[in-house]
Amino acid sequence: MDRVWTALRYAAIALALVFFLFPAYWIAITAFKVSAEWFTWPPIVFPTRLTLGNFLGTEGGFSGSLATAIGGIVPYLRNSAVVALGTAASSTLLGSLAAYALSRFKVGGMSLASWIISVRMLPPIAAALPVYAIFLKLQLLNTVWAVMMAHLIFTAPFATWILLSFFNEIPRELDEAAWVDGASPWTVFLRVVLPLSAPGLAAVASLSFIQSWGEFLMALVLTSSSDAQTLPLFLGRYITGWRIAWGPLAGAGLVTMVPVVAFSLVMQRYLIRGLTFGAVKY
Amino acid sequence: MPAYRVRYVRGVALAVVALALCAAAGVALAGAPSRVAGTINVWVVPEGADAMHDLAQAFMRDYPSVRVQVTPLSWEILYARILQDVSAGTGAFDVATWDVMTAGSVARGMLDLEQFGRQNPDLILPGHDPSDFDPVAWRTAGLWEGKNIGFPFYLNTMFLYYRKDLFNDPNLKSQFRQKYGYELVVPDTWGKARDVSEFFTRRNNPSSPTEYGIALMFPRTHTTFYEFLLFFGPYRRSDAGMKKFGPISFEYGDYFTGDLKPAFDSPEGVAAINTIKSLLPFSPDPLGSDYGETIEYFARGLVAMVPQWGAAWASFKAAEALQPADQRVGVALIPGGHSVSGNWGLGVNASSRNQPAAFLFAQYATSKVADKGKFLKFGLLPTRTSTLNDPQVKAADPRMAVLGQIVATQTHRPRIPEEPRLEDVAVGTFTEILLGSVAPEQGLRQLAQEWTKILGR
Repeated sequence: MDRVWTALRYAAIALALVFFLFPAYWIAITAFKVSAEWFTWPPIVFPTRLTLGNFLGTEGGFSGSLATAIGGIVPYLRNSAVVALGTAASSTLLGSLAAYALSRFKVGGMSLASWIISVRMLPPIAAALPVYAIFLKLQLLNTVWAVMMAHLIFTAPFATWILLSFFNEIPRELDEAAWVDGASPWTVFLRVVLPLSAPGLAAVASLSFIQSWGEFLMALVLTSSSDAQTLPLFLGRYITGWRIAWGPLAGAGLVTMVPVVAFSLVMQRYLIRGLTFGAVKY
Repeated sequence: MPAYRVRYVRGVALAVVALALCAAAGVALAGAPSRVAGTINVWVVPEGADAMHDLAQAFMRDYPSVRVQVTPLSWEILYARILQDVSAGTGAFDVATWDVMTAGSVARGMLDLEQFGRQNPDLILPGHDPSDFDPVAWRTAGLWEGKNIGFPFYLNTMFLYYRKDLFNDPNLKSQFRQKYGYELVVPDTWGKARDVSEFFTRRNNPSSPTEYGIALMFPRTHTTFYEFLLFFGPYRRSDAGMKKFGPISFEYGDYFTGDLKPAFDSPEGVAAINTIKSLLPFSPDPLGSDYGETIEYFARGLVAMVPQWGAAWASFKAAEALQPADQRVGVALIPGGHSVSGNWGLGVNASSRNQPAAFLFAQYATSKVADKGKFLKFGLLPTRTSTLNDPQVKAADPRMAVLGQIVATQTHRPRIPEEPRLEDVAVGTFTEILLGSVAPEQGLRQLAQEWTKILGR
């Protein structure tokens, strides 16, 4: 009976893995398929002919490379990296400061905390036009700063809310012990609360990074050239009037996917909870 | 005057003359006034991106003081962003390609190129010659209510691509003759297209070499809006149709009567819808496929015919299943004889902060040399009469044999600013009619009423 349960458990896990990992596999494999196999029925799940042509612009017999290869991706990749890393760092910093004030000093009470999270419920398009008008006046359009600040509208409240729950879990007795030793609120924040919230900070940074990396609307509205455009905008070029270039699109998709996976893997080690366990004995 | 002063004055005079000569030489070398400098941002639809990039490189070689940034944006994004900048006037782009049916919407944000040229004669490229543009291309991709809002960048219209090898197969020809009583030829009417499509659909004819007869695309997108005209055009543009509905306005297109009322709320509109419905069983997933899918169906050899845009030729020429393409792929007029226009203009942003360089580049990218080069290197259909008549161009590509005929008889979508709203409600109604949830007469009547409301008549 135990064996049956074990087998069923493994089968369920395998099914879940296939369900969640197949799209990633499909993008990866399409990136290396020859053009004749991009779009077939039945689909070719295990291709035998592989090529690098989708990356180099030599697959499919088309002239040029802008809409047939991924050669032009570098500036977009750089912009995405700057924007996403900047957003992750800024939202973690702003979120931790705001959450500390809310958690320890009850600034604004629950009303302010609730209002902050309510910003997350705002449809992005509602913020896009006012933000566009503001950045137009500030002459910040078509800069990575504009995109980064626009992303903070949504990531900072989220970061604040997540970190608020983390900070609330840290016993106040630890703060008080530090005060007795002569620590200022800043010192308590930097030396006691933040180190104990490392998993929370890592989670917030990761999620802010992922959200910023894949954001489309704000990047579309606020940018106009490769000086500031990000990867989600770059991917649109493969949907052309003569075909949808599935191979190069998957190639660019793969390049878009890899940094997020790498960033998440790096942050994963910090995501282990339970660092505060045993800090206080009742 | 002391001798040293004379020498001094002479020296200064010589220096001034030398400087003037250097400046003149510089201008001559650069080929343009010194104010043509700086960076210009060019927005381009992806199918024109490689050609635009190529032109930008050549332009920068000829005008080293200008940096041209080419930004490809997909069709949906490009239109939305142009509209955004037209409203805000930020000058986010300097030059942009615009689709023919967006002319009315983008016109107010585009520079009047004719007027700008008159005011800046030193910026007019010798030999650019706007009178050389094909009259229909110029009318649709150059003008809006008399204002010159762009130069035609490339022609785009729909062709019928068909499997030449199958239509020439003696066995298939004899089978077809037995079944339908006439010769298997490329259909010139939608009635014959129905027979041919049925014949090449394996479900109806087990010996058919293809799975389906024709690849149609009626998704709930703007595609359905132009596809309808392929079927309504033959009625609207027939002698009886012209008599009944009146002349066609370039701004309002074939959807409207001469007195600008919806023409499709008529027995002719219903007949067009019924023709579409009669073909649906012979097409793979007609309500779920868009141009990407239908191109792939034909490129994979799944269908015998596909009505598609000119740009699709590049895919068919390169498709593995269609080799050798010159023996397997034929190009013909759309059944019924009326295609639909989808030309692209190249305009300069009225809010551009670098209008001289932008104006110069717009001319450069639409010059005679560029027009021919874009076609021969990148397959973009030419817009100039001189290119269309060029023997090398004519011989390069099977599309050219029918292009002249198509351009002269093609239908037009509305180009008015209200076009996006008209299109939106039309697509929804057409989808409901094709799904069978609304009767054609009722659906078209309701649609005409909604259009009348939108237009405030």
